[in-house]
Amino acid sequence: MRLHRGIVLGLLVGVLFTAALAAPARAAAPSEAKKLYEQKCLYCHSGAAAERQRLEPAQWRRLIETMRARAPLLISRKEADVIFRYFVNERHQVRAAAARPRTSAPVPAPVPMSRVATPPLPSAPDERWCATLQSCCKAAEPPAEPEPEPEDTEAEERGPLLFADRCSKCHTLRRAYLRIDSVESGHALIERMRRKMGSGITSDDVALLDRFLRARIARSRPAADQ
Amino acid sequence: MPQPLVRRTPRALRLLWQVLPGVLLLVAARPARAFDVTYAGSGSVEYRAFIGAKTGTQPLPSSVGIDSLTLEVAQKIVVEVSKNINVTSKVCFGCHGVELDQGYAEGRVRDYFNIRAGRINVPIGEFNMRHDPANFTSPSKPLPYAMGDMLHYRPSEFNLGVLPTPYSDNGVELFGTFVIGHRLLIDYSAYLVRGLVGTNDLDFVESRRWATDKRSPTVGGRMVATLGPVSLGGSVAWGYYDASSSLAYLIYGVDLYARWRSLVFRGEFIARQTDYDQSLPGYLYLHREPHFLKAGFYGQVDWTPVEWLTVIARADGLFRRGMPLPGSLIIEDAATVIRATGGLVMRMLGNFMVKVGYEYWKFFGTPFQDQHVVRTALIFSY
Repeated sequence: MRLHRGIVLGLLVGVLFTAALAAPARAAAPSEAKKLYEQKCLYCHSGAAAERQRLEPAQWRRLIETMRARAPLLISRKEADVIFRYFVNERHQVRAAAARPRTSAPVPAPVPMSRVATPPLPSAPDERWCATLQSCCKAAEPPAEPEPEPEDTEAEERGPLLFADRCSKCHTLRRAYLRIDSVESGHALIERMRRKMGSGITSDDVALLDRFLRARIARSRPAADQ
Repeated sequence: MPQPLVRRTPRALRLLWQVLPGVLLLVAARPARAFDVTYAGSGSVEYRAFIGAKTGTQPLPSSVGIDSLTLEVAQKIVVEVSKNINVTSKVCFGCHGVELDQGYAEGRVRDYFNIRAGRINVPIGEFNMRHDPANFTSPSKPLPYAMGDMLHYRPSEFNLGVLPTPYSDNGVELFGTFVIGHRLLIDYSAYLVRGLVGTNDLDFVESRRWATDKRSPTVGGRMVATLGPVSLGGSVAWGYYDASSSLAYLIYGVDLYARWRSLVFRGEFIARQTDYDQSLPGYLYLHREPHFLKAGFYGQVDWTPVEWLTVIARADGLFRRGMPLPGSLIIEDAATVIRATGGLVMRMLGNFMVKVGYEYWKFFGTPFQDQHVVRTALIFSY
């Protein structure tokens, strides 16, 4: 009996191993945009849910911006633009009813998400998807135009790397990202973690991470607060 | 009628005592909306399968009543009472029922001087600080820190590892950080806790009880130097473990963490020297030293080629040197178990994580057979 159970579980593990090894093999040379999509979108969603959808470009923009507002540390503005172009230009997941030809013509250069005028949601292109979309962005009406804030390039570039380096020492990165939802709570959390034995977080790191949080969260706040 | 060693409190009272801090914290935190409250938690379901015959007939502990299937659930609440004070409470459920893993108040005075008091995770070694299944990648705990997931863990066998983790205890801890040249961090911790308990060798069941007749505390400390992605730590703890304060134990160890791109290396060595009672009958050999030594190590490499996948290779071991205790199945004065582990961690969806792993156990100086073990675990954390 135990032998049979061992064999069955061995087979199960074999299947999992094979699946795990096969997945990257299929994507032998993924584009940067695809990598980004896998890293950011598949963090929380299944590929099947995302890849079968057909939306208008403006809806894609709105959806991705909503996701960015929900996880501002995970998805930066530039990354959101790349992901948008990936869905529209590379995967051509554009709704036929949108009267846009499915060509590979590039989408115009990205404009700031918050300035995109988004049309109302269609009646029911896909009920399940719309239900998800509406539940996710029930408050994501076109935001008021925020005051442009100065870019903190250093924080945007070094912040994610520092965050990953320090936090993943003891936690999975995903858990750390999903934990922080405001500058204040993020600061308190990082301060507490800084005092953990061997955290390696210096006060300089805290300052940079604070700027990183502020840059990401403050910019996404108008959309997230509505 | 001999006097019982420990005066045990009723189970219901113990349970109440264990969950009370968390309940009080919830009640206290509710009206205080100004407080910043952080919730964190995890759940883990793990199953072990043996390829080939399982050694002997020992049952494997299960928190859900099915042999080899375990469930661990933990809920943590941290309340930032003020800028410098926070209160932490963490309750977990596993093979030992409901336990209070953490329940302490922490005061932050200066970077180099802070204080923590209550039920704390005693800072011995590096692994004890990240013992939650959601916080370590390997399919099982390293052998020096193994608990019921270890083969032949019973008192008549290896009697667990060097220090079964999680190790929580009641006491007070001073800790802080010194920064040298903006880059080198020196973290220190010095603590006074009740300590481990036993009669002739440590008894980890008694050690989990809150009420014991132990008279003297255990003292210890830990220091970690961190420079960029490299950390080097050292730990030591000493105390008496018996009621009459005549049998002592000394724990010491070193640990290393290093990160290079997508590779993470962790290594640790930890040893415990434990006095035993030579006045008892039943020893097989003449006494030479008044103590025996248990030492363990692990070295682990994590490779994360893509964000959703981590590949793990680990080697760990546990050694016992010294007089076998009366009644033990281990009759050699040198017994060893070595284990090789390969595993995968897959973060497939949301907050879920799947671990799969294979382990090969090899025993020396014992009557136990070598063993192949496959582990699978589903973990949720938030």
